[in-house]
Amino acid sequence: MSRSIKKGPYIDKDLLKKVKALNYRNEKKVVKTWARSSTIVPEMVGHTLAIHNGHRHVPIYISEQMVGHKLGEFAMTRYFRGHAGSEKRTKLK
Amino acid sequence: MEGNRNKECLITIGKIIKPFGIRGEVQVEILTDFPHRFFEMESLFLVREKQNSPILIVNIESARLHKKRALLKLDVINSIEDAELYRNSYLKISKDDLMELEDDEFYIFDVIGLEVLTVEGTNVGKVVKVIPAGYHDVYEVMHPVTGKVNLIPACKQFVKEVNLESRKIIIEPIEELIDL
Repeated sequence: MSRSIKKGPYIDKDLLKKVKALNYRNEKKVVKTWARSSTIVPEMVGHTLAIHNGHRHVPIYISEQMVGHKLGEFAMTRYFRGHAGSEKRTKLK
Repeated sequence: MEGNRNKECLITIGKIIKPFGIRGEVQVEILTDFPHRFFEMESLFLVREKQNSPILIVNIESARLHKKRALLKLDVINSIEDAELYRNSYLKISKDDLMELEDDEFYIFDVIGLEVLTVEGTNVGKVVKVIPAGYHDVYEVMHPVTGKVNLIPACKQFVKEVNLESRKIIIEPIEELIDL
């Protein structure tokens, strides 16, 4: 069942407080978080959040396209090692 | 037909998973970002699982897609028994046949092993892994002496330059991104 619209999106209070403090000071710093279920809000855009994937914190640069998604969507908890030397590419975003 | 190419010069584009049907078709796991190349190429290199086995040059007689896998009919495989022999073999191409990439795109095998330096010239280590992270990838960088692992987001805000010729990546980290 999806979350009630009346409640609004779930945003981790502590994380939002830290991000707002960084915005107030106009500072860029990696913020560690375990709040994978927190929704990404416009205040977070341009910051780098180190999202815990159960093993370690994965630094993710938050961009406009991520707003509305959950933080956990961007830090995979399982990683397929793949086949060495295959024709796969990586892109600088 | 046997080729005398070095295995290290070849790039994997697929892995034979199992036979499909009784007429020698094989199911191939697609290990390339360009699956249409199976329809465009006429021949491939077939490398068997066993070490020291010769590299075969095989022709593609037909190709089609089926449930995220490719079904290929190769000239050297004409029955289900032949197909069983080539289970877990790799289909490869020469480095000369690689697709041209757009600006700011790199092959993962090229990025692995690059030396990562900060704009001030501090050595962070070498890229050991490229981790997919939804929107952008993340480079796992290991320091050769201390063994410390740092994760660098593969986005232009941090990665200022990727130079494949000098085998270097220049980054501009923010506070607390790297721990040396």
